[in-house]
Amino acid sequence: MSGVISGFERVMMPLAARISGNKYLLAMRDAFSMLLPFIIVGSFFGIVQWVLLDPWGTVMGANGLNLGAAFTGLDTAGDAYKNSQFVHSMQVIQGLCNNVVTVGFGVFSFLLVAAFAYRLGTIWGGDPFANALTALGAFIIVTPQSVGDVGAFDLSYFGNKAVLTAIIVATVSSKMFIGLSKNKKLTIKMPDTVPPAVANSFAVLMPVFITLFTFTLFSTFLAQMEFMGSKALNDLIYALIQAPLMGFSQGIGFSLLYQGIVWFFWWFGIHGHNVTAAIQNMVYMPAQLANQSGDAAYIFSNGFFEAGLMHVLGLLIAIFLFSKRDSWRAVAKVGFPAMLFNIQEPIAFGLPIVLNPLLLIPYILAPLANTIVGWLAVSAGLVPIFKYVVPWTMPLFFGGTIGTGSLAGGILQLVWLAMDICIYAPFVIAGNKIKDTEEE
Amino acid sequence: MNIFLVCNAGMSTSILVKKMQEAAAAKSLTDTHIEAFSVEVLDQRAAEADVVLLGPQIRHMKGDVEKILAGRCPVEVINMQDYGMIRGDKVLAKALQLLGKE
Repeated sequence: MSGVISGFERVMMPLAARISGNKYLLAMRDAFSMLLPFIIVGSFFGIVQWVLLDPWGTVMGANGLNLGAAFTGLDTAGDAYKNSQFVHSMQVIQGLCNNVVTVGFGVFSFLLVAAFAYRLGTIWGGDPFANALTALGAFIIVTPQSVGDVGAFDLSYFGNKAVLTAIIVATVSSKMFIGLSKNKKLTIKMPDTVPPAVANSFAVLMPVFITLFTFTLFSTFLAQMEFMGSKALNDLIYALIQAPLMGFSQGIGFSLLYQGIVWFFWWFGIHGHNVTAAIQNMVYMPAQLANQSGDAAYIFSNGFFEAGLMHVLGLLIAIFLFSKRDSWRAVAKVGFPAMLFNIQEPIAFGLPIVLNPLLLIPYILAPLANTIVGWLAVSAGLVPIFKYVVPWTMPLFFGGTIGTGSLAGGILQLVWLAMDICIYAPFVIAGNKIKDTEEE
Repeated sequence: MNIFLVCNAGMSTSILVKKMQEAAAAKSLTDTHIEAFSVEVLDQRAAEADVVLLGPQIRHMKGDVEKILAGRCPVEVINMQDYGMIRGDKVLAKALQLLGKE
């Protein structure tokens, strides 16, 4: 067995190194992490807006705590309530909250262009900030600049539907701009007496001109040709790539494959989420954004999978209940506080789960079983979709409850935990028969 | 001197940092600064590092980390068992050994 494992490791390690060492994917991952604070802040205001303040929502409405009726003394179904000063004030504050939600979700792709182009600027050796500004310019050029006859931007071109467009535009624009900036013939040289800030702005003049002009030509061409009935690049990319990709990734088969790969890497002690970050960023993050903005209801999203990180807690409880191995019980005690916040590394490396043939099966089976049961529960309408972004370290029950905006989400996590304990238990009991050889 | 611990998000290594700081205090090492952060920000902090320890879950990125540090200071992957059991004293000892202090 150990021969097979080390053989596998010889394949997996370089593969993982290849994927996470890829500069382009790394820049993309960094860009998404740069935007994470905005998403979490946007989500916080989203929860306040839709769960807390909505006059007919979970807190104020009759289907929830019914506080609206308690505050006003009116029936929340009636017109008197609808026209009350209370409801009016709530709606005004809701509107203000929504302004923040727009930053984290509504214009996410616009921010992504800037963040990604900035990171591409650093890895491809261009001026990152000038590159980010140029990419934003290119993105604005490929976006329709009127709604009907009025000069305006349609917000839907800046949100979750434009993630792939943002990535492609940032990439192409950066490649062009940085390539052109490095061409000495295109650099307008200023005498030494000119201040550096002025000289720099002249230095990038030609690269900016050529990049933006190319995007304009391309955009005009697209608008004239109307491929697949779309005049704008965003619509074309969405219809051609992003929509099929989203459809495909929402299949239970692909989702199970994704989870299987993540946890298989983890079993080798390699950060599975790090290796597969591209999948997460390209499909499950946009799914989450679409859920939050109410554009769609995708079952499989970042929030769904992050809620399932708790399966190792099932192993810990199985150990507390059934294990007779002192070493396991000791590690479980050390790792328990971290695991409450979904940090599994102490257990993974301490027990260890990593490269432990006994635990390979339940370590992959538990998240797969969670995925299937979660899929069934959400499809059947028992649990709402995972709508709000919650930090992945949010403890069990709270994560699911806040993420779905409903107690059903928290209960789903408790059901998962019970299942995971049952899945891990037989292997923990089998482990009792193995002597502790590594005791110090 | 600066001992930097690096992992994917800097979450799990931060637990170890606390134990290492306790171990350093027990040894009355006052001039050791121990800190954990995400591998993504290493390039901004590389110049300050005296020794960099990698969480074992990102050991496949050792090559990239070495490239970022460009031989400026020693890099080592933390022993899996020590990492899992959060043995701050042992990891600190390893760091000091790499620094040639022990």
